[in-house]
Amino acid sequence: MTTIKHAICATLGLAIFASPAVADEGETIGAIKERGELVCGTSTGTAIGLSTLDDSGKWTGLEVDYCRAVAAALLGDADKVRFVPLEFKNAFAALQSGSVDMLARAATWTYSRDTELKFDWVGVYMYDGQGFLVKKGLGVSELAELDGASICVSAGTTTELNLADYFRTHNLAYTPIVANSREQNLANLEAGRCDAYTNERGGLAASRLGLGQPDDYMILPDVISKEPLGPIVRQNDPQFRDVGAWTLHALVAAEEFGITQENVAAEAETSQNPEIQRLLGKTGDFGAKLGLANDWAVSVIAAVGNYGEIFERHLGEGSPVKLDRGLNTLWTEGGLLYAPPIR
Amino acid sequence: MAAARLHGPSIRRRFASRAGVLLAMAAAHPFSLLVTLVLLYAAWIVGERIVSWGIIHATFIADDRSGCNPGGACWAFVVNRLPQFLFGFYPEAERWRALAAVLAPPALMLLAVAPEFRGRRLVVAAGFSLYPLLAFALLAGGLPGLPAVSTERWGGLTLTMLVGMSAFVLSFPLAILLALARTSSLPALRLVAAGFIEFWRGLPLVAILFMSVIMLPLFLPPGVEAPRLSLALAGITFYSAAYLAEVVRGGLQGIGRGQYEAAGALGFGFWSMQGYVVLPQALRSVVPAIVNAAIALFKDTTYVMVVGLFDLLNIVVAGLSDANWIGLAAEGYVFVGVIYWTICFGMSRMSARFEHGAQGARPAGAAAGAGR
Amino acid sequence: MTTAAADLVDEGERAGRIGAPRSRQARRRRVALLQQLVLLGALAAVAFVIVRNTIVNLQARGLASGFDFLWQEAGFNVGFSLIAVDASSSYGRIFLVGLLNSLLVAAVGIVAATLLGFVIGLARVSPNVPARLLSKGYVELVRNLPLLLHLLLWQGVILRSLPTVREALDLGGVAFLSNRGLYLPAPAAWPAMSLLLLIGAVVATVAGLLLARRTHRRQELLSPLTAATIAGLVLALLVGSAAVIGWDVPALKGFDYRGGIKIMPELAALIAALTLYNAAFIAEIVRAGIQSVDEGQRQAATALGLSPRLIMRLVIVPQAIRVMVPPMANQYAHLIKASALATVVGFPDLVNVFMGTSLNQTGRAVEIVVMTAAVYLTLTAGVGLVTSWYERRVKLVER
Repeated sequence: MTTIKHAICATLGLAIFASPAVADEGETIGAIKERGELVCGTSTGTAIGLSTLDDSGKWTGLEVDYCRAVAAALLGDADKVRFVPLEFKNAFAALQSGSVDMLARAATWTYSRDTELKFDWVGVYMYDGQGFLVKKGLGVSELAELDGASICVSAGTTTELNLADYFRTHNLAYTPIVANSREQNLANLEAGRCDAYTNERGGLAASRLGLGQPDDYMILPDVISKEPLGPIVRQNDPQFRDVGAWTLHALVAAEEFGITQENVAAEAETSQNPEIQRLLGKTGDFGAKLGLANDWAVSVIAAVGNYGEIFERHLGEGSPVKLDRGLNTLWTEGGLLYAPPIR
Repeated sequence: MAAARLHGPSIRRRFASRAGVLLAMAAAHPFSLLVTLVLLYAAWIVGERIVSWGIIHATFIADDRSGCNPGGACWAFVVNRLPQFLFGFYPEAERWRALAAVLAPPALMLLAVAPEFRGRRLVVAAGFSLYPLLAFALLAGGLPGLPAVSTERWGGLTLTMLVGMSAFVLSFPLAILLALARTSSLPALRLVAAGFIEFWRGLPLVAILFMSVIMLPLFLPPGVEAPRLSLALAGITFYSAAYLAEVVRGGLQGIGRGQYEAAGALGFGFWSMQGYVVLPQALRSVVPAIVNAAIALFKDTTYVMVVGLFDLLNIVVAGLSDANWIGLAAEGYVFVGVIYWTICFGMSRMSARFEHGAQGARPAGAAAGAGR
Repeated sequence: MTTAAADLVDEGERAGRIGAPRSRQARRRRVALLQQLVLLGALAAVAFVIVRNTIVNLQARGLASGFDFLWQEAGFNVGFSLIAVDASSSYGRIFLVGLLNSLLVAAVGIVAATLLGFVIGLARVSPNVPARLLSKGYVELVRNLPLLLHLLLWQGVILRSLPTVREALDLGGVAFLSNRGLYLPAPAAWPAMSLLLLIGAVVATVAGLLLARRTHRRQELLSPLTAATIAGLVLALLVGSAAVIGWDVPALKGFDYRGGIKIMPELAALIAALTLYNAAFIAEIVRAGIQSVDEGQRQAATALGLSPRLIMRLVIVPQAIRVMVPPMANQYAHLIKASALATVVGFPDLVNVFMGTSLNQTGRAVEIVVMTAAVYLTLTAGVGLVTSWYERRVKLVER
């Protein structure tokens, strides 16, 4: 019913005359609760492993699962989330204008984006670096040999800026072939329109699978940047930011504690670890402190599993991408995943 | 923009139907004969290739690319994905709703040119004017018996039809008001209408769509939200209204002063004069131009691709990157092309029928409004 | 709008000074004035609400505003530019690059679509039946398909059917064609020298035309003799300059051809789509224009013994042009706006690099949208102004 109302209202332009609701603290959370769903900006549906849209209109991937986790935390139901496919070029503007609540769209955390665009990265769900995908037959084995090459890159991304910086500082020449979508970039690479396609290495490993002959392509060993990818929110709702951040921490902490999708219900009842008890809402009022149900973390983990399970499902050995976890492993195992204490 | 009114010789000469005339003409001019033969030969070569690729060597049923005959078209791609191309990501059980939204416009158009029967005009008028509201309500659902379906799941031909029809229908009353305002005797009204029309006509639709999706939420009161589809639709509607307003104005300019004076003498007020005397004549005289504008608008709905809506064209383009069906761009584009061509050509034929009904034939190319 | 409002206030005061109007006409004027004031008031209210909402929304999101970003370093590179640009260029320069690229596409598109449109339009009314049928078929096929489909089609065709750069088609050893672009030779001192060449060619053409007009008393716009003279002049100029300064012939070095001029495939696809699509509409305008000329004119010219070609050139086309100008101007305006589709194929036009990438990076949505809109409104208004100037000129001739 609200859909109809909104649609008709906006269509007729009447919304302009509607009386403005006063914006105050908790604006984003309030809007989400009122409409009963989270609106998450994602890729256009072809980022294998991160966010893909299948034929039946179902979204899957690590970023998608993160959005579901936030919906589960806020609304108690992981299905109460709507995904808005965005080209990278328009993604930040969409978040700024308020047409999405949150972006989970392989966006790199940088100083200027964080400050100038008035966004907050709530954390990092994937530590990545920029690499290059080339055809094996090209006879190139390292980046320096790409001097003078045409390089495919997505418009408006940090990879476009890093590429410019790297080639400039290393006195290498190149021609940027800038496309809006990963599909166009891959089509260009396959047709030989460009010699290499540059993106985050995780994205490249996944993209390779979308090519006609994946085995004819390889990723160069060079990594030219740090690409911490994370969910982004607007700066105007600190509480929503906290919900986003602690949802991510909960996913990591759950892996650390060995809580899985399967055992979460049992752990919530029987665990004697005080930290687990606090996380899962057995003791204390940690949910209320975030304005959530006390068992919010149970809903989250029951819906999507812990970080390790999510990674495994979409990017790891159990998935077609077969990406090494690299830095995206727990700090106890030499990785960068480190959840603050639940205390 | 002057509505060029031309009374040249009829376009439809009956030359083509008579092979004898053709031969005689060709024989009379040897150079012409040569050109004729070359063109016929080229047409034969091209035609033969198309038939061989598209029909004779084509594969209609297969599970993926490898099941297709490499020498011909792989229509299996289109066949397998047809439900998605037609209905987007609309839930399978609810597709009858999308189907109804797709079939209603062509049905109404056929009714519009159908032989006269009692109440036909009323049904057509009501159908067209209520379409946006009914189609939106039907597709969005949320009523008992109609489960709610989020606009993000609408797509394919359903979305194309919905956007095209809704933008046209919603822009029509706006266009009439703008045209009346622009020809009004009140200078402020004229100025405002002219400014509005020239603004929307002067911007690329791509930019308008960016603006409406990125900027409109900034204009709305905080807390009020609108789905991306509605925002895009609002942009297209203003764009279309500006073009249509100029078409209607062309019609208004053709109405003689005597009509106004006579209506005034009969004691008609402003609105009844417009409604009963002026507009019926003005609109009838520009039916071909209105249909042209509708065709242009229908083709322009493809631009919603740039703001990430999955209309017919975009959903086919998205399907092209499916690893199972890679490299089938030709089949996908031909499918989209055939649908657009059939609908647009059908509409222009219909307008030609109207034209024959109206007095005097006029060439369609010079109709008010640029081809878009 | 403010001046109009001031006028209205003026008028209102005048009406007040005259005193209570008695006549019906004065009353009607007062009502009209009131209506307009109400309208302007309502508009001002709407504008106020929108501006207030925007300010509230921008503040709520803590967004910066102002045009200072135009001097900031953009940090990204552009694949095709008419002026020097690199990753250290400012957003202001990116704006300029995008603007020039948009203008280039529009200019080339307009010229090419007009030429092709005239050819097809003349074929539409030609006595040759297959030519007529074929041109009609072309028009009906092309104009009933969306422009965006044409564009994607051409992009796909160029990308998939042309060879890769290593297997580029050799066009006489001086030009090469691959799916990375068309490589053409350029004078070694490009672009300074080529500018001189261009000026030389234009001067030669104008001189030739003037010569032709005088010698042939305007009967032939371009006689074969003059055409040959001009062609010879231009050719001599080109060859002469090549001998002096040498040619920069593209050659395969490393990953790509170096030297000469490179026309990128995205640009080619965009221009091809814009040209072929708009040519169909221009053909219809040309046909309608020609058919608008009264049959009596043709008969009279035939009676005077003019050849069909001369009738077309001296009698039909000059009269048809007057009818063709307004719809043609609309078509040009459409083509200029449609060049913004460059963003779909990744050609760096204004909408793509400025309203797209720059907006995403700086977040100055309002400023960038206003600047982009101003550019297009100026361009389309410019087309309108030139058209009305031309129409006035043509009308004078008509008497």
